[in-house]
Amino acid sequence: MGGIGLVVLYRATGVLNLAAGAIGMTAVMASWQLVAWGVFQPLAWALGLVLALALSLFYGRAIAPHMAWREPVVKAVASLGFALILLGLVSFLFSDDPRKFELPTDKFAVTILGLRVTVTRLIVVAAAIVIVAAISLALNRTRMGLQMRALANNRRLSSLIGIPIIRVETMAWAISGLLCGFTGLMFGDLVRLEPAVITFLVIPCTAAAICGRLQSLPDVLIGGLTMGVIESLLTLSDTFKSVRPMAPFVIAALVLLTMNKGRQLTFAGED
Amino acid sequence: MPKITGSGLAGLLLALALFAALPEVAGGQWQKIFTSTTCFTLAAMGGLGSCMRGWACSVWRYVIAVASFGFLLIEAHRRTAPGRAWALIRRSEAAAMASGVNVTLYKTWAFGLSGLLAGLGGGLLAGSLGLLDAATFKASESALLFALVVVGGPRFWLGAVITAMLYRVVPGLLNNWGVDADLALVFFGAGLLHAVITAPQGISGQIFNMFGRGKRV
Repeated sequence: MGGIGLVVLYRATGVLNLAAGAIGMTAVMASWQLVAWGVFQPLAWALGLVLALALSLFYGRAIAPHMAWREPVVKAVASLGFALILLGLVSFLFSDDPRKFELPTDKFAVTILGLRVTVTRLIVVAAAIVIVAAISLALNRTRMGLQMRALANNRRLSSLIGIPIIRVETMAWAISGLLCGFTGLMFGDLVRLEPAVITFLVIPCTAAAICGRLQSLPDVLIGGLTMGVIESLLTLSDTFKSVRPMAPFVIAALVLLTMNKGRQLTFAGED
Repeated sequence: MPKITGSGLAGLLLALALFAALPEVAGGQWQKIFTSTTCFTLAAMGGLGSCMRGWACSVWRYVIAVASFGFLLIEAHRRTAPGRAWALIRRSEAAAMASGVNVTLYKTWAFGLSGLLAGLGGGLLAGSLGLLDAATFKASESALLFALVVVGGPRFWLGAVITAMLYRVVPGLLNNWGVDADLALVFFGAGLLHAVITAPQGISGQIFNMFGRGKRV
């Protein structure tokens, strides 16, 4: 899910948003706090998503335009700055006490091939598939999708031919924000409700995005699922259990090596 | 679509995995090497702290000696053929290749040198801390260090020194002033954004430019 959000934004705006994890983390921490204050749970989740949307739009409208003409790497590094700001603020506002974010769907489970799978996990897989299908369709079949692709391809030419840059970018950041928020809520439930952990889950998410070369959403989905399965299987081995966090990067590196096989010249930068 | 090429993707992946060499994607070799040397400076500052507390002065002297060796090694590279090759590669890989530069060799060389310096720096850091535990250097620490390297100025030796001071001194000062150390992350994140948007060469670049040395460096 995290990888999908990264690729959607990258395909639309050319920004690899390393603050995606921090935005999701802020959303889930806010939702947890609202639930702790006794707010009706679905309302708390919705407000968490709204916060993620607002943060994403803030960055996309107020900060990202200052780097519109810079290289993709510079944009990615800048988003890391935003991630640190969010992480610092949340760490400052919340104590270090252990906390837990639970969804009602955690209590229900089905057995698949002898394995107990919670309904939350099924929702995540189903949501990822539906989101990939819907966004792929939107990017390839709708006018807004065409404009997003044109903008990411060449911002200067897009503006010259009359593409409403601000509107298209705002839409992309909004979709990305909602995906970050949803991913954050799921991470908070399925992984651990700890700000630093959720913030830096963007790193394996980036590895999944790289499996799709930051372009293909279906490839990202397949890559992400493969990484998850292999990582889980490694826990069964006493020998490889400790190297489990490396799995996403090793897989992404192998994918890159396979894709670049036979290529003689691969220049970096503007070449 | 602004392309990140195959080698760029590989570089990005490696940088994320190791959190040390992101600028490589942009073709910059010096940034990576000076990022590694920041570890030296950090180790030196840790050693200095021990020394000021009255023990382990020998460790500090040892760290200073190795750090000096690291900086001299970089300067030797910068002034000879590898430095010129790296400058050309940074400007344009295609032009470098057309000029007869062995791009693969010199990029691998840069990775090797960076790895050597990072390894030495890591060893010294562990020595000065007196603790050898991977858990003491979390991903958040790496991200913070990377952000500060950009703020300090990744292309200059002074950047490594400034980075280490920001990393060690600022949280301590905030603590003394009664400000929550978590707010240091906010300041550093804002500093990174400011550096990326308005001062790509970082604080050290601005200092050198002030004295007219920036262009030469």
